[in-house]
Amino acid sequence: MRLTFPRLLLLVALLIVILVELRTVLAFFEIELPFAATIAIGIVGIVALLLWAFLSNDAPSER
Amino acid sequence: MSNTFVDAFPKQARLIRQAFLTSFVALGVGALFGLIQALHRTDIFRPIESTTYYTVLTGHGVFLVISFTIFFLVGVYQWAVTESLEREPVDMRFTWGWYGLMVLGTLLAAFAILAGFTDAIDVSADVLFTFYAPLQGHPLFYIGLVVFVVGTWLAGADWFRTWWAWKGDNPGKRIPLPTFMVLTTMIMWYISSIGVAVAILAFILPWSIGLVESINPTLTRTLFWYFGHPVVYFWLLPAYLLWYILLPKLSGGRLFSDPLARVVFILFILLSTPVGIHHQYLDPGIAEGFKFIAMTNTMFLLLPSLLTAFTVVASMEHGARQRGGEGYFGWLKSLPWREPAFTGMALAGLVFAFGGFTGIVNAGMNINYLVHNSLWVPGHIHTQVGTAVALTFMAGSYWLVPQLTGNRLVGRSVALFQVLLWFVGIIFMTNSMYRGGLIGMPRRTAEPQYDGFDFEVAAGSVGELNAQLALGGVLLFLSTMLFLALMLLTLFNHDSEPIDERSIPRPLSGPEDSPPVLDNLKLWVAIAAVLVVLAYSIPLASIVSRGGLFGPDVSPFPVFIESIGDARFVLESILAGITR
Amino acid sequence: MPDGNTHELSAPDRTIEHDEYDPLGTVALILLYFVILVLMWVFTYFIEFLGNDPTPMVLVMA
Repeated sequence: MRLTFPRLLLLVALLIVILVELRTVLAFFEIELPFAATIAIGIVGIVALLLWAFLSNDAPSER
Repeated sequence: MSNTFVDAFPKQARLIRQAFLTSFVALGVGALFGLIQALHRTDIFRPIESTTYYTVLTGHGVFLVISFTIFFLVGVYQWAVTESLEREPVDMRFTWGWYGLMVLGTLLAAFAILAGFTDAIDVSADVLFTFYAPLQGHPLFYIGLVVFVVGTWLAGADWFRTWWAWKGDNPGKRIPLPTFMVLTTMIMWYISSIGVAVAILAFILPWSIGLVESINPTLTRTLFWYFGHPVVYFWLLPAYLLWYILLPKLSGGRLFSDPLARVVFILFILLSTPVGIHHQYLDPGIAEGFKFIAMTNTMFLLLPSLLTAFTVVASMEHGARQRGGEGYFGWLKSLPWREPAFTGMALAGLVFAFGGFTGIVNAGMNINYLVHNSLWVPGHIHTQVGTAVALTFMAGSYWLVPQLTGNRLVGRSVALFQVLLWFVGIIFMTNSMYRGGLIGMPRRTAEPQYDGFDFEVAAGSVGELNAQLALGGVLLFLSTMLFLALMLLTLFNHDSEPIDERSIPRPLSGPEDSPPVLDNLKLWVAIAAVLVVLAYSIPLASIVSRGGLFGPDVSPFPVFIESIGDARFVLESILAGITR
Repeated sequence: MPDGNTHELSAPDRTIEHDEYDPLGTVALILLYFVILVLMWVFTYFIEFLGNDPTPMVLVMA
């Protein structure tokens, strides 16, 4: 596992927040992400993050 | 760990626990009301009638921004004064006295608000947190507010008294930084709360009792906002105190600069009051020029917050580097993110930095017109008070409550989840509020759904905005409940010890590096008074000379909804007044 | 029994005194923040001025 659990949680939270805000910004430049697509991107992003974190034999760095 | 605050000052710890308990009860009730509002105005679930919405809204405002924040403030400040002066109040009975007054005031106001839920008691005060005349609530509401504010005044007097006693024993010494922060905050509070005291005691209370017939709404509004902007710093400064005093320690470092911290608090004494008119950009009866002065002062107020951003981040970086952090951004990885007290405060600071931008939008006279009285404004409030302050208080509690009880915090991982849940919830909710505000959705409205009219949503749909707002509200409510549960469990977590002790590391650049004039409180009071006179004397004089002290015959609009007939009568009389 | 609640607040590995500490990371972070603020101001220009037509002139005959 590449990350400690608290860090993973923090990154997931940040990912959701960035996604919500970025969608707003893009929409004002007329790049509209549909609701379902946003959720899909969110799920894909979180799953990718989890895979990246778990599919590794490195010991988590304590810091 | 035996060197905790409760070991050193058990009597103080008891008082602070009481203050926190009162604060958290208000938080619980206020959060429930917030949930009801989030679901009601989005038309997702309406368990109450829309007329009752305003009772809930008043309770949400008063319980959260008056009771929750200020009871927490007196708790933190009692801790800060005791800890930094290493001494107890001169007379503990006086200390319990002001706490009792504050509780009494809260109970009176709470009774007046909550009685609005039942027809059995002929009392209500659905006047919202701002109690703008000619909305009229029951006199008990105003009496409660006055008693509460007097309680806070006496609390300040108590801290000054402790400091004077300390000064007698330590002649020539610099005021310790936490005490300096407490005293400067209270000076700001004395200067500003005079406004609301005059508004209530001289005008609104006599009018609600029936001693005078009429009121000048522009005058009472202006007096309210004279207090209404500094009060936001009264919520914020205890959070600043925690960021300056506690956050560096939690990061594993030391405060970067004691002198800079003093400058910041002095700037708040000087600048926080002569800005209130920026809440009244759309009020008729105040000349544009005075609004412009208020705007200029407001822009100067960005300075202490930017100074804070620098000092607090530099202190965190110091901690990260001491913990082995490297690089321009790599040091961020060395911060103790698993510590809920740290993570909560850091995220609160992050939200504050970006929410501050929306404050600049509010403060600009021209752009303000775009967002005034729209849902944007509650969005701003919820990122600033509802997160920068509230999340810092919750995170601070994860460190303070173990110090005050001598018990170990229960569920540290759950606590981390709780602060992250708040962070995500607030982004969902306020993002929707900001976007809703930009398309003109009104605030303070039970049913912002209109026949034959659709909001032109720039992106997405109204349904989506509503769903996002409600989801955010639910997450925030769950987060609050988690927080309260952890606090309760910690309170009963006997036979355990906190993982940390009470000491606060000394700053990198200490008070010896700061000019002594910074501690000359009388000087700052004098300058602040001059600024207040400059900003307010002419606008107030012109309001009074135009409308009279007691107004141009404005009759009350009692917020008692007895029957539809009454409401119709009131509406008709207003319409008659407009068309006359 | 370690339960995730038992570890102490991590003590620093080393002490850094005032003279040997340059908050370069803080400067980097604050510059980043200012860049974002500027972008947000530009963004505001789009919302306020380009997103809205001028207020229409309406004559009300009383």
